[in-house]
Amino acid sequence: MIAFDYNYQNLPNSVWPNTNINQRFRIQFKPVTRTVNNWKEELLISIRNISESTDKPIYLCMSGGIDSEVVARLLIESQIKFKALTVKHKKGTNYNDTSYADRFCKENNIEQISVSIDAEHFFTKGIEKYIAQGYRSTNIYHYLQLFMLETIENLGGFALGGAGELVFYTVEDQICLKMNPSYILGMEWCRNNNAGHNLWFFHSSPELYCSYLNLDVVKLLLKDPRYFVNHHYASNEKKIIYHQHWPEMIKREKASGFENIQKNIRNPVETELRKRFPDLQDLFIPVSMMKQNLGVE
Amino acid sequence: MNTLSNFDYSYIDGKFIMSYKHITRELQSWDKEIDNTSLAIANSTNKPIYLCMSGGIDSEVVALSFIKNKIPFIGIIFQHESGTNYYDIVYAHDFCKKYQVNHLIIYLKEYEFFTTGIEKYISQGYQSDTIGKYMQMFIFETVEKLGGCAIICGGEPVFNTINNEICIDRGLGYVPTLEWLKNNNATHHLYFFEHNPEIYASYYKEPLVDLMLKNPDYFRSNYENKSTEKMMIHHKYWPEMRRRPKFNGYEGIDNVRIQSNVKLRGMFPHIQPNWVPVTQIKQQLGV
Repeated sequence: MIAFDYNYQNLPNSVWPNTNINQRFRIQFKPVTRTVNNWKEELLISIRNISESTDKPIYLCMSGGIDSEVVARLLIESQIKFKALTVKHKKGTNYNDTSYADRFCKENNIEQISVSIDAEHFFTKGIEKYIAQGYRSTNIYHYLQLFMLETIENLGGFALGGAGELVFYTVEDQICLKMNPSYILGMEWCRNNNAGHNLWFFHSSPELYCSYLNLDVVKLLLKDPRYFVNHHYASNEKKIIYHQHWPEMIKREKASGFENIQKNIRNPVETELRKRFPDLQDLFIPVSMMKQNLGVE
Repeated sequence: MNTLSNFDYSYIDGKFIMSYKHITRELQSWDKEIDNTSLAIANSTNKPIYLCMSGGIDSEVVALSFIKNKIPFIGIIFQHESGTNYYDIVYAHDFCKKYQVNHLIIYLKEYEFFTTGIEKYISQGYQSDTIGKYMQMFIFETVEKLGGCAIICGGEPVFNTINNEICIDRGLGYVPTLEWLKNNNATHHLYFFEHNPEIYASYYKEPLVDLMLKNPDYFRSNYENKSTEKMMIHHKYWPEMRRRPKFNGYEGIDNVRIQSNVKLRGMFPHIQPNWVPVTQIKQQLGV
């Protein structure tokens, strides 16, 4: 249930430098097939559709961020049973982030399964296992996604996650979405393992995309590319929108969960990964093109 | 009745009353009004300007405006001696280095100041329910001794929905530092973004703010003073500004802050929020 098709041509090192990322990596958003409801209704439709797509117990990967908490709130609102799965660093280096997940689960009587990892070992040596299997990413978070998929698969469950929100960037005065071939790693893992997990809830349907693009705030911001110049991964408009819809949700700083291992582990490892996989470059897709694909332009 | 360039306030029969002045000219965009305000402050003083740089985007925006308008200034950074606010002020250090801004670092014994140090101001009659206000007094006192004119970059509206109405808190807690300025006959600038009706009103006219003010749902959970819309607006006009998390500078001494604030609220229970509807403020401003 991912609302786009993708194709990455993994060309040999002797060939790819002569090509543009646009030629090697293609994303085609699926067109809208029905009337688009408001965003909240589309979220609820998506969560119901996901729930109906599986007989397995649902494990929601909760990092402590607002994306996964929104998905948890949708599950609760829809009376869909689920367990939470939270990956915690043994040395407590992501505690700032995961403490929000702990608190949410406690307050809402959600069974929470905590999985401990030795962050230093996993992100320096553990990821090699996946690389040897052909999964290539320049972002260590994607290997963590594979670990979560594998863990939940072993538990006999269905993995659900709150990734996939739209983050905008202005490139040459045009507002775009950023995609990277690394992004599809987990989707490839699911395909290769014949496993129907969905860690990318916000990519669930074209109608969900449209309803987000139709929100007042998003519409206003998309009229002015200045809002997204030098943007980084933290989407401020998303925070505004989530808290508008769930005012009871605790406000928190955007955390990646890597803040405390950023300097010593994440930065050096990702520098090395970028050297190993230089072909995995960012693809910027204009929002206007996305809308065209969706059939709403 | 106390008069500032942007608002009047008085405390009559136990009730705090504050009113905004009407705009007197056509509004310009937020960035232009910031430039106008920088120039107005620079033209109003012969003293060296000390811009208080916390590491946040508010002071950085004003610093960028000063640089753009070639207004000489000195950055002043208050650094906790134990390094407990370094994660925040590091942005100010980096900024001063990048733009070669002449700056002064004042080391503060933070544990001492925020527990016993503030008592000096309390004994002088300044009542606040948060330690931040005493820090403001300390900043002004420091710059006063240096013979300068200080700027602290506060004053932008932080919206909260109260009883389904979008409001801002403009109560007694807002003015103790203004009282300090008055009593010491000192001219410094505490609320840069409220310096004049036009800069204040232009914020309300920003398209994002204008849109959000139409729906109280946007501000139902804004109790933590995290004004996301302000961040987006600042970055829209100053895209070159480094993006950063929102800090209050007290995260490293949160226990001290919480304990001291609890004590202050116990000492001054009459300091309560005074929620003023935005519709009323806009009426007063004439927008």
